[in-house]
Amino acid sequence: MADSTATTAQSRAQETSTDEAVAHVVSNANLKDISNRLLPLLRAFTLTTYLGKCSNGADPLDQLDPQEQSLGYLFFITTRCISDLQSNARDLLRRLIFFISTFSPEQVYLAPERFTLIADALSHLAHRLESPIIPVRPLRTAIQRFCGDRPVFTSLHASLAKYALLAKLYKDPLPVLDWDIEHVDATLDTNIEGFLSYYYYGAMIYIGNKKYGRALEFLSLAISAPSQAVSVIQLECFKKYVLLSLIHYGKLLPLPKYTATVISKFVRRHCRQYISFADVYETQCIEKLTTALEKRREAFEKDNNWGLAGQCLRALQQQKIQGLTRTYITLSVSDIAKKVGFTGENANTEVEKNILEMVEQGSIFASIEHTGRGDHDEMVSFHDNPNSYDTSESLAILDEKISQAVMVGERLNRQDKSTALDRDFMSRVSHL
Amino acid sequence: MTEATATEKSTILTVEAPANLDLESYIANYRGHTKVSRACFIAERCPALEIEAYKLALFETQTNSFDTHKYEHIIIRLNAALKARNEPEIPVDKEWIQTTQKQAKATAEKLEAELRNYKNNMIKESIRMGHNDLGDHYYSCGELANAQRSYTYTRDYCASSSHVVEMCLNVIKVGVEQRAFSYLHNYIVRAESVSDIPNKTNTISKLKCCSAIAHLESTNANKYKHAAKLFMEVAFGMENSFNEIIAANDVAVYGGLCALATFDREELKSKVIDNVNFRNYLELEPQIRELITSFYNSKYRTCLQILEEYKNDFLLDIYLSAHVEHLFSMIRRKALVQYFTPFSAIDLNVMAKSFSTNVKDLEDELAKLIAENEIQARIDSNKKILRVSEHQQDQRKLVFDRTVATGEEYQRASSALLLRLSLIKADMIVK
Repeated sequence: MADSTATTAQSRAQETSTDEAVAHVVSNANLKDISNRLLPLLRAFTLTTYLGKCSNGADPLDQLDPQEQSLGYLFFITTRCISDLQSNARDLLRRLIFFISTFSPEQVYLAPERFTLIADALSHLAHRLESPIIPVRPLRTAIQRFCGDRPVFTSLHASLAKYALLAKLYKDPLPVLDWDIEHVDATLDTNIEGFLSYYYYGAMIYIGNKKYGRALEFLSLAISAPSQAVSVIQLECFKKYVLLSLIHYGKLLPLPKYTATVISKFVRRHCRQYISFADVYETQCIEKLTTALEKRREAFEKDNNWGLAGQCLRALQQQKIQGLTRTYITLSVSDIAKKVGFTGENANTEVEKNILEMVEQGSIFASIEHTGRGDHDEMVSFHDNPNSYDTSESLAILDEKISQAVMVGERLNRQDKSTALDRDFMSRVSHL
Repeated sequence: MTEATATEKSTILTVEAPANLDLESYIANYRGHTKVSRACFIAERCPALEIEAYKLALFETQTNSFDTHKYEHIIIRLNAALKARNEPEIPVDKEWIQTTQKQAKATAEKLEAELRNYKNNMIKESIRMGHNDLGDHYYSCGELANAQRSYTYTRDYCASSSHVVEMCLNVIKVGVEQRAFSYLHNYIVRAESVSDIPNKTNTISKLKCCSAIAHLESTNANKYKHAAKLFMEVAFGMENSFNEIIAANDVAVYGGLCALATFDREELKSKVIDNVNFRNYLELEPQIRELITSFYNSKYRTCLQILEEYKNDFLLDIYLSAHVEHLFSMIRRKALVQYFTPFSAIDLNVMAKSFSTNVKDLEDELAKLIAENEIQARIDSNKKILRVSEHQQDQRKLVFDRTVATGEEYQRASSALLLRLSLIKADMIVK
């Protein structure tokens, strides 16, 4: 039934006028009609149909209601944004943003490949208006509305992360990024490249936000995605993974054990510079790390990782200071400089700067005493972490974490049950 | 032996003349190849004893073996040393080399012919003896690989438990000289599992010694403790009967040091000080006995002094040398930890005095111990005081920290798995 409509629709599409198209959209009101009759027609309409004006000179976008006729509107607005260079970009952007905040998810769900075009549409408008920040918030809203309350991976995720990165808007995409995706669906016009890019760009955004733990999670998801070959994105992810892992944990964390062997072999062969850098880091010697860093300058710069690599050095210094807090109650600044391995004239000021920064971050608790007289230099006193989990707030945090864990556990159980019952899936897993 | 020294060469350290070593009587404690090995070992490390040691080794080689290669090797070294000191060189005994080589060859041929003969006659015991004799001969010529092979061949012809033990001991003897310790283990276990070992306590003791030495050379983290335990179980009856590998004095030294480095106070008391057997060994090396008792009585200063005094001796021991630094640092660390145990705060100046060191070095040492969680304390570097950290609170906090971390990790891992399942289900795979 749907097939026959499609063929007839195609033959008729040639001569479809914009008026007719609008009429089609308006006449198919319920969801079943939209999916069976309207969708094939919409897919068959040509560019001229979408770019044309109604016979009375009205803009077809004015004739349609973005909420009631979401699917039709989606086809019109995306085509217009991408291909119509005559009309007012600002006006189109306004319409598109309005559409994004009002569309009906069920209708849009029917044409995921069109939904993908929202990203292109926004990018075209951003280009025309020369403002890279344009796509970010609308994309975020589009994703949130499309997903509803279920964290599913959409074709817009990667674009959101990419445009946010280009526009240097590190905070805006966080509501989407913070929401862990648990479901992917290939029928939603998504693919593995998009998936990998999303996690790669997402990790960079988290790096921008200095949330290294989360960035590592993202990178590790990309690296450990099921693979039979190695993607360049995964390789780049691994390079960042090594450096971030050093910055955040002070050592190279092993990859998840389900990481495909092709990947772990490949990265071992192609990221020697990084792995050996991690080895040097683990010797905990500032001097060695500095030379190792200089030696790899070219390689790191080529990979755009020079900045991150530089942070490793700072991380090691701070890690060593942190170590001292476990060992000492008081220690003079110059002793700290000596023990950590700061050299040069500015060693003491460097140490102080580091300590202040760490206190600010809450990674250590310390106070510096300036006695002011020459014979005794500044003493640093290290205190215990005052949070000893005896306040109601910390208990509340704990409670919340427990309930989160329980929820994840339940989801896992459900998945486990359904997986065990799925014969198809079981046979495929055994082949991977 | 020559190969082993060649590889070690790069890391050889020179040792000053030890205060307590009388080379001649030390070497006289041993029998067989180990005499030469040990003398060479000392000569290579200690310039002050170099000539004397090489001379002893040379004499031993020439009188008690057919090993012309070793003879040449030693004499070259000896002459180099003599030349460096502007002393007259010793002429190479070419005649001895020639006759010995000829004799060795003749003996080998003769033994091989005999063995062939035995094999034709299919007399099991004779074949075993034949292999054994050949092995002995090769061993004497310094051809260790051949010796090992011959000894191993006897395995198929062992008729009684004493044969098995003999075979194992022979293989072990050669293995120790080859320093192929990992390979020894099988034979030690095999010999130990023989049902009625002849001369049981003695043999078992020998095996324990070998096993302990093998442990020393292994990479196992607990090797010193294993070795110490084995040495403690060596019966005194063994005395010097195993001196082709290890002398009774060595049991005391090796065992004592390993035990001191690894046993806790209780074990030290029950397994070492109250151990009648081992006490007999300790009588042979009174300084080790003093070392252990002073440590047990918390006289750390005496203890560390003794260690320092005998350090060079230990460094010149073929098996102990490589472990001296490590064992010493272990003992010192243990002393530091024990010293601090009864206190809640202690002045570093006082502590430094007890360990005859200065405050600065002590501070560094303690910092290391704290970092490794050996001492639950923190240093007040301003006032130079070591204080016990409030243990209780730390524990509670630690549990909370760990709980939160584990919870987060669980959540993260589970979500990642769910996502991964979903990817596989959707057939989204990097291809």
